[in-house]
Amino acid sequence: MNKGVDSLENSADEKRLSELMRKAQSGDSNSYRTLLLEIEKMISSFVKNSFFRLGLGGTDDWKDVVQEILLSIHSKRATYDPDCCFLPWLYSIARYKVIDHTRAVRRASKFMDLELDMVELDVVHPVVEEPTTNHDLQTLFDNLPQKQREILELVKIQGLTIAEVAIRTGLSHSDIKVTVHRAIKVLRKRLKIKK
Amino acid sequence: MKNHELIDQLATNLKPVRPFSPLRNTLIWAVVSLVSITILLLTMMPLRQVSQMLGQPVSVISGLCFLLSSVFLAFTVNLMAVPGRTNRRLMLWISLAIYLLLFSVLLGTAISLKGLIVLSGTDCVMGVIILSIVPLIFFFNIIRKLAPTSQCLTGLLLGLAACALGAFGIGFSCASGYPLHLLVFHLTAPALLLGGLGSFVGKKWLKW
Repeated sequence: MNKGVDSLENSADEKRLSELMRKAQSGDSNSYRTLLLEIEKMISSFVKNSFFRLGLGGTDDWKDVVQEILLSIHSKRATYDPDCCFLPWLYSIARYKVIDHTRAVRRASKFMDLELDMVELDVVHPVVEEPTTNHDLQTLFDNLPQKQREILELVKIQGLTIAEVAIRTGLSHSDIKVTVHRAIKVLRKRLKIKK
Repeated sequence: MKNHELIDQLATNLKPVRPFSPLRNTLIWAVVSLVSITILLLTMMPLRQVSQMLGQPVSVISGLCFLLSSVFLAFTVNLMAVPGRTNRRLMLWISLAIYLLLFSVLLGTAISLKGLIVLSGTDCVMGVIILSIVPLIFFFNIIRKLAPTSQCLTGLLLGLAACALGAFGIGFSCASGYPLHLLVFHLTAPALLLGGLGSFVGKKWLKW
């Protein structure tokens, strides 16, 4: 571990970024701007790769996570020790935010599993509501965003399982569940507005 | 908002910040906590004679171990609140080793004495908790401003650090020098309660 840290300390990138961060801690805006612009690319690449490895590659959430990391770096910049390496500090923050986001998505996905089960129950044993014409539903369905429309058609109309849809589309299971949930939510909302 | 707009916003009117020092933070916490414990002891609890304390080697040794353990644990917590620090595991093991050493010494001493005596100690447990409250809350407030990446573990260690300091303080009030009493009512029971509380609160309160 120490050999790795020693070689890191000597790398040109590490020295340059550490120096920029030290100047930023003393209030130098230009150095701070330069630092953030450089690390923004590194963080974006890290987050995109992490999302791909964790099976969250089909969404644009990585952009939000990158901005959260930049905000965290800004708010916690006092925790950087100028005598220590900069990159381990940076990647620790980035890793923490990625894991945090992944946990939130998985929690939401579990909750949505329950909701999805309830929605499926609704389909099998529908609650009797005011009749709506097929034409209305078809119009609302056609007006959904393309991704939501395609996934909803595969899951609800063609009756494929989440796993089968994942193989067909290349999306992750959680992404598919989130998309179905959002599509149904949009349809319900639009149906209420129509009434 | 695009990233470069966010970066411009963050870089404009940038305020200088003082780099965080784990050692400085630990010392500040220790001093403030000891002052609060002293005030509570003087105002709320009966105090023992110093000569009586010095006559019980187990009390003296356990008191020193509690103090050392508390300081090392507090330093470890401060290290854990800094992302990417490489030496925090070492400090964690040292802190836990002191705690375990104390546990073993007290247990060993208790077993080696013939006739294990355990006096009622719920008052001592309450005393440790009362003395630990101010250090615990103060420490949480310090660590919340930092960036702990393992909230549960940080909260647990934070609870143990406050508990160890409280146990050090109660030694000036509790007349019992029996090792089993110290082991159960000064060390184990409060550590379980405050460690669990710290872990639970840390999970919610130390997120950033």
